[in-house]
Amino acid sequence: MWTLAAVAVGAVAASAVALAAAPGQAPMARIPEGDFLPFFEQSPGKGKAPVAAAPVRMAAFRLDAYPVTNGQFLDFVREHPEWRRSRIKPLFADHHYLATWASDLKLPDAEAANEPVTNVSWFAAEAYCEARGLQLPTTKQWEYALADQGRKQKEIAQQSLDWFSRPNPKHLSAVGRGEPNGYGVYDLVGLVWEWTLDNSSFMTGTEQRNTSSKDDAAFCGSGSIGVRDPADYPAFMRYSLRSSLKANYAVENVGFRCEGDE
Amino acid sequence: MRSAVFLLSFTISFLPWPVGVSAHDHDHMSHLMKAAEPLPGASIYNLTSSWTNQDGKRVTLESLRGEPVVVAMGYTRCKDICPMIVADMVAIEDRAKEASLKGIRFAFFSLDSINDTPERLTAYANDHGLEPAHWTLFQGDEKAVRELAAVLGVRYRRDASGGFDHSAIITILDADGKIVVQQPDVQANTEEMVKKLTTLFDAPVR
Repeated sequence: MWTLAAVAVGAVAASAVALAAAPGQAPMARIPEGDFLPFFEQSPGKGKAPVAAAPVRMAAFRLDAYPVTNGQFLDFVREHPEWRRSRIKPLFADHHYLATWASDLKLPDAEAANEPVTNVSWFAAEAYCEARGLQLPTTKQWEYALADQGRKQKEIAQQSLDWFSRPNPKHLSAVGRGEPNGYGVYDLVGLVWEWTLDNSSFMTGTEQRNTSSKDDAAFCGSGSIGVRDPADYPAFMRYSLRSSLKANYAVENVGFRCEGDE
Repeated sequence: MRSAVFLLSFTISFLPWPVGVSAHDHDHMSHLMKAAEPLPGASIYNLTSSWTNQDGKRVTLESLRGEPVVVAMGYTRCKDICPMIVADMVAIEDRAKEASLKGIRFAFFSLDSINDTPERLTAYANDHGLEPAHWTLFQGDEKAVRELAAVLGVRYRRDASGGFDHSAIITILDADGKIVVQQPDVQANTEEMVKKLTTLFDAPVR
């Protein structure tokens, strides 16, 4: 990672080859196939009786071991000028896009290169992953990676709660500082929230009244039976955050990582 | 890709009246000339995904450029919400006609990438009496659907029976594909929508 940072902050002229190769070298963890019980039951379909939640079979995939860093994202906008701050179309990102950067191609400081990129919209995250031949993980994949075959789930929950209780720091810490999970994935909680591919799938809030989805019920007392574990407060937080984001929002503490087929 | 498109547009905009264009092509040409200007940054036509219309033709969203468009997303097997969305759109169409607003397009984008083939979209249009001259129904791949839903603020999710839970939103786009107004409810306020449409025309009748 330090190599990447050095390259990213380094000279523009030398960048072409090294930078083109750099994002592809981002280490990815292999997430093996397995069963997973999603947090929300799938809605049964219109007019059908609810069915008991059943585990779904997940195929194996690869997931970035770390959230994408400012340094890596800088490489991307060098290669793809249409994603630079001054050129971004409002359709794809609001005016907070890369707001912490000093300019189009300048990070606020050297440390930032190894910190997770934030203030990126869903569109920008998707474009970054696509440029690497990858895509954003689905919410199911992301949650499956976090579930980590049941390893250390209590610790993860506590880590999440501790994180929620801390105000956003002025400087995020560099990626990969904590312990990896059982798959070798770092920083799923505790550093930034992360975009998922189907972020727009989760319906809560005002649109809800127009649909037959039952997600909303999960957020009001008696409806909580529709979720995997009503006591899993961090999971509620993750899902409600996702549902509150629009695809062009560029938010202070939301970053992302990419996913690829095995 | 983008630069190629711009280059082409550029060329067209600098051509004088092209040789061999007959009078009845005039509308088509004015459409092309208009499309030659760069899209506003907020236009949803900046999405470059391609779609298949009910005639089986591959098109981009920009093919809708040039006239105001009334847009919704749904799927043809949907039995409750979608027919109401389409009925609301037809109501807007009828009122717009009464108000002599000509040239408004109506676009229905399917959420169901798998099942809503051009054949099925055609059948759906026929069943609902959607005039082919004004209505286009689109099938896209999952990515195209995801991106369009994202810009329109349509939330959707596949349910266990192969259908979708989804929000019912009718959107009016101006001639350049910018969102003018969105009606996030079924039983849309037709009058309100037609009033908005009226503002998109220089004069009520052209």
